[in-house]
Amino acid sequence: MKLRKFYKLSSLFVFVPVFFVLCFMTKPLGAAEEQTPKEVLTEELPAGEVGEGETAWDRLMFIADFQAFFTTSDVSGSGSTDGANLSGLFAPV
Amino acid sequence: MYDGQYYEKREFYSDEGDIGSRERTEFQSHSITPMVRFDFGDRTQYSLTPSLFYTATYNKDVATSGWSDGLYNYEDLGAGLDFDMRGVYDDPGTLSVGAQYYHREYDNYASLLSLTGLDLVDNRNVEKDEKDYDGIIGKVGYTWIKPVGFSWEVQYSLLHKMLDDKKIVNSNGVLTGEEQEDDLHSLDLNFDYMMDIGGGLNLGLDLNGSMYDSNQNYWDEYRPGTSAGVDARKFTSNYHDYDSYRIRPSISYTFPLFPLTSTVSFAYQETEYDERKAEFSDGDYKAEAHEETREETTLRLKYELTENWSLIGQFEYIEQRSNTEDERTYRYNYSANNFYVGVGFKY
Repeated sequence: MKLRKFYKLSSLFVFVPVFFVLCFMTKPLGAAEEQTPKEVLTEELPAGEVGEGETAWDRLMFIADFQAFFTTSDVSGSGSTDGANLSGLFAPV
Repeated sequence: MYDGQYYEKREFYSDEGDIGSRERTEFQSHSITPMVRFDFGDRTQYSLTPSLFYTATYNKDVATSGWSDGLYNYEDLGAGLDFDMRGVYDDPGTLSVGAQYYHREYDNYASLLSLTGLDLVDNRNVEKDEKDYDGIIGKVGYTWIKPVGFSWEVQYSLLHKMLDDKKIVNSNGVLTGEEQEDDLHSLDLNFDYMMDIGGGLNLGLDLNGSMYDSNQNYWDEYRPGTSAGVDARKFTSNYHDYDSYRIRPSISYTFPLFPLTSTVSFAYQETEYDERKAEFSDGDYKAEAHEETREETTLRLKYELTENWSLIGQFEYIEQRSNTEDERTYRYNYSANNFYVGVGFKY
């Protein structure tokens, strides 16, 4: 029973990625006809300001997402607890 | 990238494939993921992201006092490779394919067999690290994200677990040479519709289906056999296998005149085991399979003080129910309330 269900689900799971791959194959991306970001910038910048741009260090940025809470919780039949909730994400990009 | 959290909260938690939940009051996890993303192709349409990761989690269970004592404390060490292809089918579409390999160790978890110190029969002392495993994750997903209008995403993932030294028990209660291997299939479908109606009204619907498939059985040495003298009631095949689904509608509204966003969501999850039986309060088996349901209602208010800072208040009500009444060892039926008040910072 489990095996039959597994095959049914597997066929669905195989179908989904194949569907997307086929979509990708049948639709032209059109990228070759479009300009690259560098070409667009080069056209829009005033004459004389076209250069190699910033270094990798200059482009370094950080993302951060921090949250700090006071929490109180209780579970039926077990009691309650007060405390803190801290979460943080930090990454250079 | 560093991703960490700490909280002090009374809750029940469990790992995949466990028999029941344990109660804890504090939890912390720390994850460090060095990664490099290479963009290439026309309009940098493709990206390839190799990564390494290390994760450590610590629990303060009710029965223990120190961070190092949590029964389910674990460490992961692994590597991953992700490939993204943007602009698939149209500009908002992104196709993602990824794979991970990792090793997980539960430092405090040892089998009851190994704790006895006995070596009565061959194989009796081989399950010392019975929860440690090597895991391989494969996933494929597609996202269609627009700031206003209809957005959706679909992701399928398969986690294959190869346990280090957990042996399969056969119908006679004897450990065999075969080792335990588990598969967790997950399919997620998330839909969002954002309406710009003088503020922002967002309607969401998250759907998840999971299937757990293990080759492990279960032998209960202390359960009486049948009157015929056969130990059929001691042995349960495919004890850990289950099917689960979750549905979570949500509605969120951002006011037009002041930066307040209110969100209400409700989640319903049902899990049904294939072979595991529900139990009466005295531990005797019921005729029906073990089932669990979980309902979560969440109310959240977020007020944007500045571009980076916000005030947040949240209330959660959780109700967990099961047709198993035997709670001498594990809790299957409870309700919980959680309140949060605090600040958020984004940069």
